[in-house]
Amino acid sequence: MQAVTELPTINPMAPVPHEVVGKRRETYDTMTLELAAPEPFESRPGQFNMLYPFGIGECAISISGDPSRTDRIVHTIRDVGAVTHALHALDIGDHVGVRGPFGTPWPMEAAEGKDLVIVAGGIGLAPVRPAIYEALNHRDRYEQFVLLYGARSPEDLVYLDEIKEWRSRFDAHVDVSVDSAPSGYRGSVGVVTRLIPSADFDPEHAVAFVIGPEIMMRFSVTELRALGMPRDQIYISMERNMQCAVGFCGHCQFGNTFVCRDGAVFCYDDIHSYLPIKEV
Amino acid sequence: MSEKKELVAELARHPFMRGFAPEAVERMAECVEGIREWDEDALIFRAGGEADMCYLVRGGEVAIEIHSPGVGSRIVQTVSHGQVLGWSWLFEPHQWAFDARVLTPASAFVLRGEAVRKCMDEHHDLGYLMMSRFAGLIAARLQATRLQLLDLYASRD
Ligand SMILES: Cc1cc2nc3c(=O)[nH]c(=O)nc-3n(C[C@H](O)[C@H](O)[C@H](O)COP(=O)(O)OP(=O)(O)OC[C@H]3O[C@@H](n4cnc5c(N)ncnc54)[C@H](O)[C@@H]3O)c2cc1C
Repeated sequence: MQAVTELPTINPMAPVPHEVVGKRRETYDTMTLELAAPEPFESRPGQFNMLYPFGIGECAISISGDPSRTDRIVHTIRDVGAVTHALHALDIGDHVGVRGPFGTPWPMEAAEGKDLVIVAGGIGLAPVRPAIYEALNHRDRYEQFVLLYGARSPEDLVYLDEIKEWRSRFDAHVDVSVDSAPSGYRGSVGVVTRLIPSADFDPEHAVAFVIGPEIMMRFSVTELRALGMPRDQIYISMERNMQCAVGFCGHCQFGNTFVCRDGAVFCYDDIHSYLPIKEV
Repeated sequence: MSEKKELVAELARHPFMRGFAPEAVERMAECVEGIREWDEDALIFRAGGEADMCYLVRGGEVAIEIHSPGVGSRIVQTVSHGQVLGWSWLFEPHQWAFDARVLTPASAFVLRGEAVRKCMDEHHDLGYLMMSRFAGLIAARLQATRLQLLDLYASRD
């Protein structure tokens, strides 16, 4: 079970202005922003910040950069509404308010000495990218490294250059699949869950991190369980809409659990009853 | 080893044949017309064409495409090593519903559909095994299609 994260000692409700120093378009609706950290920014893979484009509102965005680089904070943001739209509109030199980091990290230690299997869907690759960096920076700590990534179409795939780089490594099994593609596309087509049975790992001796929209996570977990992976070796990230980020408001509560205070990363064993897996 | 024995041995190693008794593999080998290879972009079969062959893919990647006027061609699934390409040869009216186009140079065991069906009729144990394999494949495909329809990656809430 994940320990509840200690809240930062500074006032967790006060956003600190950070300068935008880099901006990169990933897809038609997704952008990566790089912020300069006024002081060394320590975070663990899987944690998130609350970003505040001044005067508009605040939203939770996962940290998507390499945790070993403490001078920069990287966020990958999909434009879905007012706040994320304002974040997309930021230019280099603009400032954005940041609170964080918050949330439970991916349990990298739980995977040490075992196979690490990451299943990511859609924009879900962003919140798990720090865990990928960490695992590849310390590749000897893990047995097999498996990354299975799915998106709706080729246009929805993020971090294409990096995926190419990861795929070219001899010590990583990286598979990508899209739901459908125009004729002429050279990659694999089909739902991401289909990649799970053919990936090279030992389900009983592996730890899985699953992240994406809830429906994708449910079916990925079903596949992992069908291969014999125990529930307590599966971790998922529940990125339910939240507001305060410190367990006050109850916006992201399910059962006794607050996503912001107790998550977003949860051990599947602890929350499986909240994620009913129905037959489609 | 004779050519026939070699073929039986190779067929037995195909993942689809896992769990088939040696006699069953031999019977299936009788239905094999040959091993075929295709270059990139080759069309293995076309929607509407007669589905007279069963393909067990040995290597490469094949796209299952559907063409819709005005929308163009879209790939709905890719099939690679160890998988079966199409099941229309098993059911009336034995007509392909999609195009199968080679993405990366591919090869497959090609089995005569009619011979396989006859063999399944004559040897019910083998017929049952084949039917349960294909029922599994079709169920998995149906599940995947439903997930695609649900749009796994749709915005949440
Ligand atoms: C822990 C955590 C980490 C996150 N990390 C990222 C990230 O790295 N990148 C990223 O782009 N987004 C991330 N999100 C989602 C992001 O917080 C929301 O998209 C954002 O709050 C939308 O705000 P908005 O004002 O732009 O849109 P709104 O107008 O508030 O919402 C637009 C639409 O998106 C839906 N929506 C908003 N937030 C969520 C949510 N969390 N889950 C499901 N549906 C939602 C709304 O119901 C509405 O339909 C994360 C959320 C959480 C809780």
